[in-house]
Amino acid sequence: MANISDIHGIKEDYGTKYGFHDEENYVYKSRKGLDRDVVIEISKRKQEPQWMLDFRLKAYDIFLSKPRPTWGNCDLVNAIDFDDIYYYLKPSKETADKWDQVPPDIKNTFTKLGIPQAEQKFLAGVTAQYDSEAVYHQINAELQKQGVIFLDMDAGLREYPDLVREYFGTVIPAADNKFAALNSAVWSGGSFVYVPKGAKVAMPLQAYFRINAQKAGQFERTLIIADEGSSVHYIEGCTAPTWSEDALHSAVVELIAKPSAHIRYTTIQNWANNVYNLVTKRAVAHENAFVEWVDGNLGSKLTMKFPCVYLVGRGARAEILSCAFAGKGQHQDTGAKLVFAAPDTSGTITSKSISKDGGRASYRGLVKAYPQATDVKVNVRCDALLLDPISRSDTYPTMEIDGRRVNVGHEASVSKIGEEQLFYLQSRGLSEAEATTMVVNGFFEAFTKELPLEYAVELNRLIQLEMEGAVG
Amino acid sequence: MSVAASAPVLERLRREAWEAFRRASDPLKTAETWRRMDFGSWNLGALQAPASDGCQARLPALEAGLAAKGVILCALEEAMASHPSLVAPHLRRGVAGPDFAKLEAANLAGFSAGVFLYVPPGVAVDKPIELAFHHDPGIPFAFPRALVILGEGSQATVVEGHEARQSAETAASVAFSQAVLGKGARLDYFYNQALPKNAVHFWHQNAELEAGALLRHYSILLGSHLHKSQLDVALSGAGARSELFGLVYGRDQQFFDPHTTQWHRAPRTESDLLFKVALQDRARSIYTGLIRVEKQALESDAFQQNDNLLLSDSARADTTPVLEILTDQVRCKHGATMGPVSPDELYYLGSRGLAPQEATKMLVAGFFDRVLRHLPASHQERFSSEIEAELSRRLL
Repeated sequence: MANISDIHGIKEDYGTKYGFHDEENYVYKSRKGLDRDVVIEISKRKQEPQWMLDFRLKAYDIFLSKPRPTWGNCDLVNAIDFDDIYYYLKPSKETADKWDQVPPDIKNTFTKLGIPQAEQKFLAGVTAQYDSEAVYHQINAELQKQGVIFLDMDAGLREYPDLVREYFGTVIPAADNKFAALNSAVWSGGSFVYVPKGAKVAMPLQAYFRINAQKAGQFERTLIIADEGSSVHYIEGCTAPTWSEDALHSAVVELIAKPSAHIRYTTIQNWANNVYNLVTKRAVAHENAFVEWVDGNLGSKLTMKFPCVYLVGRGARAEILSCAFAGKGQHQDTGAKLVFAAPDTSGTITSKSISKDGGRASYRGLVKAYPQATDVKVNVRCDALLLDPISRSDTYPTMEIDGRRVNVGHEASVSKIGEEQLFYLQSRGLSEAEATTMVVNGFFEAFTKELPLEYAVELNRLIQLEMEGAVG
Repeated sequence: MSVAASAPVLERLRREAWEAFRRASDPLKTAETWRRMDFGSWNLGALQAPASDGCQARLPALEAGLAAKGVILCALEEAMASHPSLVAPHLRRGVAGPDFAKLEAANLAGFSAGVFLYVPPGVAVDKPIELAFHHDPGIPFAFPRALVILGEGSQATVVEGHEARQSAETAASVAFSQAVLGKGARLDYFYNQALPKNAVHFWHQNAELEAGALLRHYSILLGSHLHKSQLDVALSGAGARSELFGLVYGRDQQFFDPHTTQWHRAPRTESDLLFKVALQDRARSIYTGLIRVEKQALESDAFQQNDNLLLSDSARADTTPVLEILTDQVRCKHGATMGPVSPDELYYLGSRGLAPQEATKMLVAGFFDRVLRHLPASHQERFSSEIEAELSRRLL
């Protein structure tokens, strides 16, 4: 537990723990800014099939034609200078399957972030992406035998072109929004996962995304297909150096849960406070499938991310757990969307947010039921804690119900930490800072208890760091 | 100032308003709050010239003695002449934000059925004052307007009613209402919309509460074909409190789009809201409610609850309860529910010998009860029996 004497500000240690950077030593770095030629060059260097180049170019036109969002934090979104970003940075010649083959400084970075150690202990597969491409990739031999495919997206396209072509962009079309269009035009890296019928992936697969270069854009593209009756847990983590210039991370993640499949997708986003994190994540849940998004947002300057599940098959289920910590200069504009398009479907959304040091946390959500969605149950719960008088919390839920026999419950609360709770804990001998940290950890428990143990410990530690300086 | 002397003031106001109306962009396509509104064939463009008002305000005679205490109840145009310093600033400031600006400009330019009520400091008006707006369906636009000012420590009950006789013509009313509550004033306000089923109705009220003031507000919305309303309550003085209740009962293809705002601008302000919506047939409702707590509104307490009961398979409801909280010393909650009549409850009542329709009626009455029982005794019976009659007409 923290002592009052060594209290420091929010994310003060981010610099030493995550905020370092390597010298730039790229195999290829596209020129700054974006035009058709940059898009063509990316596709050419990746030796992609013609259909993917066509897809990229069409998406590029859509990107140009779409306006920036007119809702949310328009000031910050409008401040993004698309001409001042490097769209493609290739860190190494090829993706290694042994850490020894990864370029030493990059390997060193991931060692500092603890990835190889975690891989040995509790992961079934790891992809480590450094700026635009994966530098390391490995999957447990047992899974390979079961026919589980876990590759970085570029390799997925090379090795399974038909499978990729069948599903790529079907859940999130390029025209979905401006940033999905941008990603579709310049995507690089991300994960491709296919779990065959009935296969159960017992240990999580993990991808770790690292931005290194200044003014870098990272546009990973992830596609997960869980075939009938299969199950998989995928975890992603992200960090970046603390540059003075802003970086842009704009991912597209598509999940497809076939009948009776189960996908859990966990994110622990801890970008540096100069990263724009504008991500489109959407899942389709077929008959009796179950999709979970566990979404933790600690870092970034502005995050706009609303993981979504379309429940299109009878009996499909969805659970979205969203957790945000908004510190100084941060706006966490996060939330969840559930779209019911089939009978006997159900879903829950739980959102927890904390705002501190002038940070702003917004919950933005949608619950929509189409006429064919009969006998639906959905429950939404949003809790927000404000830790000081200069921070801000918003709740923007929308519920549009067109279905029959649809039961919707929504509850939200905003408050500070209860005086009685603090008083009680202090009467038990805890300092005010310790008591506050304990209450905050308890507040986030619904989230941390869903994480694998090592992550839960790490997250609790992060929260403790974030909380130091909360009182005093 | 004499009537003649004030006429130019009003005329100028109207002229400016008409210019503003012509300049203002159509809110109907651009603003988020108008996005979901389905106007069918009706459009604002039909308004070609100002002052085509199809509305009359029927004002009750003031009780003897109230006038002597300084209570004023008269036409707004008349008040512009007799009490310009009291009236003009409020008219100038208006009610609407950008979303309603064009409609308010039309109202200011065209209103002839304006009502002004003033209750001086310390005066309590015991009996309810009925501001009854009768819309003439033969004229395409009506522009009702009300301004209610309560002085420090005064008390009043106001019933703002909108009705019209049945007619084949579709008429639109664009009503604006302002309530100003001085320190410690207490106002019970009823907004009773009982227009015919083919009417189009817009209504926007702004209530400003000074320190310690209390507003209890009741919206009873049963009428019209298209209904869009916005109730903005600004808790501008420390310790002000508002309690907002709403009851919406839609049938056929009625469309309701009520908005509410609880705006906490001062310390220790409190607000409570309960909106109950029941819909049958193909009726539709879109409720949007905002609670905004500003930085300076320390130790405030805000609550908002919107419940929607869907009585048919094709009824449709949307709800968007929004919170914007800019300080930590608050307690703020909202809730929303939506669903059909519970089959368990119907089954239970059926086992007691009630026919399904009778049982449904009882359950809807029970659903509305939480609003109705908050009505002051003087109005409880009237509205309860109105709802009861409406339920019998509609469900049986």
